[in-house]
Amino acid sequence: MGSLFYSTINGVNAEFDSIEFFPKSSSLTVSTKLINCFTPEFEQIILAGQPVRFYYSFQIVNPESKKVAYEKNIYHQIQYFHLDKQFTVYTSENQVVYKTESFERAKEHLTSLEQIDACTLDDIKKHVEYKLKVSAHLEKIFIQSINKEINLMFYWNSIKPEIESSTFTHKIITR
Amino acid sequence: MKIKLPSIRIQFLILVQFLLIFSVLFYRFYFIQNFDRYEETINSLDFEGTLNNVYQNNKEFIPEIQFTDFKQDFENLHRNIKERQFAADSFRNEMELYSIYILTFIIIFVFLFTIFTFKLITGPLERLQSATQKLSKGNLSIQIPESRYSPLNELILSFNSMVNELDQTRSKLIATEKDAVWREMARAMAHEIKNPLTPLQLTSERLEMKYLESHDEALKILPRSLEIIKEEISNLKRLTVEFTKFARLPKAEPEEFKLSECILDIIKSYENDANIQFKTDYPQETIYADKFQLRQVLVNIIQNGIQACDENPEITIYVEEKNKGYISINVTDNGKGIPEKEIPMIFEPYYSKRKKGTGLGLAIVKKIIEQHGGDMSVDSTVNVGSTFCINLPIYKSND
Repeated sequence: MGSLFYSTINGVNAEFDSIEFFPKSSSLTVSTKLINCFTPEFEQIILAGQPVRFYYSFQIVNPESKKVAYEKNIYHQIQYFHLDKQFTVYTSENQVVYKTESFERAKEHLTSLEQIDACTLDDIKKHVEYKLKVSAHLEKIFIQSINKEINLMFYWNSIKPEIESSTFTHKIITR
Repeated sequence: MKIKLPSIRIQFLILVQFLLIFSVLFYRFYFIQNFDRYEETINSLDFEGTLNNVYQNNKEFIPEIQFTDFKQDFENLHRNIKERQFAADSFRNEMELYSIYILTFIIIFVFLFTIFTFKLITGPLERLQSATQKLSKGNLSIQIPESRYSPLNELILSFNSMVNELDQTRSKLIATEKDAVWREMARAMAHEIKNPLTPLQLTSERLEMKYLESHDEALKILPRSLEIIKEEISNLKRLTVEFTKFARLPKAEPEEFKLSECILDIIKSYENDANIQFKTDYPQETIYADKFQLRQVLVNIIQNGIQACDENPEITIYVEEKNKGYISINVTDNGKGIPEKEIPMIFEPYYSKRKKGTGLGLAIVKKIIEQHGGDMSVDSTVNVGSTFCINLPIYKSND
């Protein structure tokens, strides 16, 4: 019956916009943006004041062996405060809290991944080909007032959005 | 353009489906409508505005040490209100979707259940109907397969038992009838043969007696005696021919032909014997029957009519379309008529009032008419005349 309940949820196919990566000092930084990831019901949950986290995962993958050479996980959390009529977005990668009264701006912070340190250049072996893979997911939340658990992934049709960069080597990115 | 209505079964099925769908849709509409009204009422109460007012009016009086908790409590209250709204919207969506699931389930279930029930009830009924039709056509070996789970199984068992009993009774009846027919045939044949035998015996004994007295006396009565013997032998021969005809009446070979032409052709051959009038109220003229056998019927009836008159025989033949698909041929004569009590017997084999009649003519006529799917009757008044009425199906060839 649980799954029957979730069949009432109209989901969207969330996806990442184009991925960009380049070295910055001793790190490999990545920029991308999650798009088409909100539905009116999902927004209603956020606007209710429920804290919602977007989990992002960055993986340096060997395309041949499919082995993950390095992995980094971060999250962005949004919460709305009714009394202040203010959104706060916390980004775990730099531990910064953004405050805004605009929901659009808050969503922008929530979905934008700007120059995230995916790994250090030392993590990338020379003469080995890699791919950078970025994915996102949501977790279940428990709404206490109605005593109900909701798997937020249903708003993304239970599909993790993913994006892969083109193949690169240590030499290419340090050129 | 004629609209063909579906069978009662389909009509009932459609009605049940329609009522169910209608009731679920009505219930769905009623429930959602009420739920929306309730939501509207709740939303109009403006809990959030009230909460904000309470917060704004009291925040200055709260000691700083308790302010964070105070604010958090109000924040939680706001969240609760919003979450309940979200839950209500989710519930509404669920309800809309579930009502579609339920509707689909009910339609499928009712459809299958109705088909199953109909099959259980109307299946045996259809088999019974078909079996009854076969039974009416004379098939007494028919048996309906049992349908154990049907409420009509008892009826099926009773029907099968009834058919078995009917079959046994019919077999007994056929045997009894055959026996009776053979007895009657033997009796009639013996009677008919005995009639010419008496003059044959008397003539031959007289001839023998005269011959023993004197050859000349015997020679005197010889030609007359031989004449009587020949005549009686001829009667016997005719009797056997007619009997063979009755026994071996060939199967009718129907064809389409013009009835009036056939009747006029028969009338021509009796021009010198009687005054025959022909009238018709059947403009279509054609009939589908065995022309030779129908001619035999009409000749027989006309001949009977002429023989029934002592002088100036007058025959009227009148053809009319009676009921739809049937014609009536009425042959009226001005003969002596038939007494009322004799009318039921005239079609029986070997019944004849005429001296030289075999009693098989009208029996053959009746048999031919029955073989064509028709019937015949007689209306007669003594000393006025008789009317033979033949009813025959037209059996148009394009039907």
